[in-house]
Amino acid sequence: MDAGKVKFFPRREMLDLVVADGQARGIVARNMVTGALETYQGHAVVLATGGYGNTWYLSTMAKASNATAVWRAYKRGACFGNPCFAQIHPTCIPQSGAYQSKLTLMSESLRNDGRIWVPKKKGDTRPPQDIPENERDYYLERLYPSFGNLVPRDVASRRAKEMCDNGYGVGPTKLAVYLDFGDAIKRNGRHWIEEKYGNLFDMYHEITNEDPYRLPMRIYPAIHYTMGGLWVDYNLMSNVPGLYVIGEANFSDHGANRLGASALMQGLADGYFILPYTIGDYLATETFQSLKETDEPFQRTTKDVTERIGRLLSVRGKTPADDFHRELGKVMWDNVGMGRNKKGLEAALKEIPKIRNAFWKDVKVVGTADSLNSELERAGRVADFLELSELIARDALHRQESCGGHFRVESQTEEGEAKRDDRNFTYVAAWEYAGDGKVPKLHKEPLKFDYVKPSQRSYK
Amino acid sequence: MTKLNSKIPVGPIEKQWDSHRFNLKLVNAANKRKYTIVIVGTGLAGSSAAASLAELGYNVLLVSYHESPRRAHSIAAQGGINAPKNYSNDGDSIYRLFYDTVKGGDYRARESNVYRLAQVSGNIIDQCVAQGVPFLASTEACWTIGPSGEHRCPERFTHADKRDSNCSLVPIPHSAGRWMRER
Repeated sequence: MDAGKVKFFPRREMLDLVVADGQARGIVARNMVTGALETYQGHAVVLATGGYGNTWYLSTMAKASNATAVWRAYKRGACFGNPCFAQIHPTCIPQSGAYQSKLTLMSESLRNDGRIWVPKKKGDTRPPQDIPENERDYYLERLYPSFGNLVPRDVASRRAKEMCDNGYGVGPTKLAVYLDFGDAIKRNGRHWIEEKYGNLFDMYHEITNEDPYRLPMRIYPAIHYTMGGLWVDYNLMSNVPGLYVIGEANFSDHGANRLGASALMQGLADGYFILPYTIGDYLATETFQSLKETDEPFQRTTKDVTERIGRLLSVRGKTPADDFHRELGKVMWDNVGMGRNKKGLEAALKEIPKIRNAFWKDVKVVGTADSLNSELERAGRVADFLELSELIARDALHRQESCGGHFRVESQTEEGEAKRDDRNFTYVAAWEYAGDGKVPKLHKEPLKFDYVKPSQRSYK
Repeated sequence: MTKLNSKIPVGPIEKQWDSHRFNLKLVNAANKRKYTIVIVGTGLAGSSAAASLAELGYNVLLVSYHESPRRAHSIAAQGGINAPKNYSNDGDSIYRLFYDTVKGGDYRARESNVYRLAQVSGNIIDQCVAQGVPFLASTEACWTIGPSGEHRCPERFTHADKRDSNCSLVPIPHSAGRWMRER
């Protein structure tokens, strides 16, 4: 059934949003093969461009995943909701060196049958098979007897970090904990595990050169998903009329922590069952001026994009964009990662503009604008991460409570769990761009809970 | 001066989406072809939106930085999809998925949005099957029910296959492909 109703334009990267008469009417994109700037015009624009986890440099996302589309829309007036809500996934293969460019996720389902442990003794260097049962600390089972190894991601990640910070980490970097299938193999046999997780075990074996059927896996948390994103109303429309945001790119459904198996659920629910209804209402009620791609709004936006690309190429510095990104990632992971505090966040807010200034003075972008140029693509994305990161840190600093994946060290219970401050922070923080170098404006959308009464999350 | 209006419908939460949909204005079927929608991104969200809007009769311009939608990140997802199907009679329900998601999000999401998500989620698998979307790369695999890890209800998690596979949802962009013509 090739009705030709979808025209597909591959290898085009959106570099700006075109707003005409207050309505989102199209985009400016760069043809990544020819380098030409192209405009796409419509009556509405839908962003389904994913999350911004790569702001932290190392994440489980694809290397090319970036925030440029949402960030450009933000700079055209769309508010950014809860930017500091990022999810750190507990079961990733640990980082092995400074020049690694991405991390690999091991599916969550492994926690159904694997048991997480560290040695009871600090700094124990014995290989795992030499550590007897009674010298192992199955800390999740100990701390959360009812949920055990299946506690939510934010809790599992934070506890793993805590174990490593306290000196119980394993492996060469000491930034890892064990995920052990020994019991499951004893109980159900190797064949059963192979059937269920065979490909994951193969993948682990390929990457680490260790056989997880014989030795426990080593895992460590990594940035995996961003709950924050462009603010949208119940119709999935941002505050820019005609600009819709769906999937991970919006902020809407997961609050401060996303549960497993619900990212695909939300993306498909938005695309299949929600947007097709709500977008019709907008199209049916709005009036549209007729607009050509040669008209002023498209021309002006294209000019802005051209100038920006020109700026990137004209720096002619010595340092590749990736180096700045790696430096930014370290600041983000250390200060705006799993455990956040006022001092660290303030330091990040000082550090990020310094890296950004250095970038604009010394970034090296080889090649030209009018051809395939992956360095130019990367530099543009890093430039946006260098701005978005500041907003993330600002949001994290302002939210003086712990909730879900946002853990403020100052706000925890006696048992070290996240402690919310419902009186002061039961709202969505939606930030509005106020101009470069200006503090963005904070809007608060109050949240009401008529059905599920807020309580301390407990997984004991 | 920007003023945010969440447009959350009034009334009991179970009825909000239905009544909201009823109150939405419709575009006359014959007029849909006069409208063009630009979609950026061809992961699961963008692809499913493109397929659905094209099916309705809108013109869709679908832009992606990949050479093929198959490269999208969500297509490579290893896990599965939640759906409160309760096939195994273990007490799962829309309300429970809603409750778990609001609680799991540490009470920082809108109740109305989450309820709607739980409500429509049960249809996703059916929609995929109806569109002729086989889960996983092999056609014999459809879907199975697996334990859901961190959720209360152990049998909610709908896997693509009994192997927790790296290519669970590959064919979904193909459903967009059926309406697609490459430029």
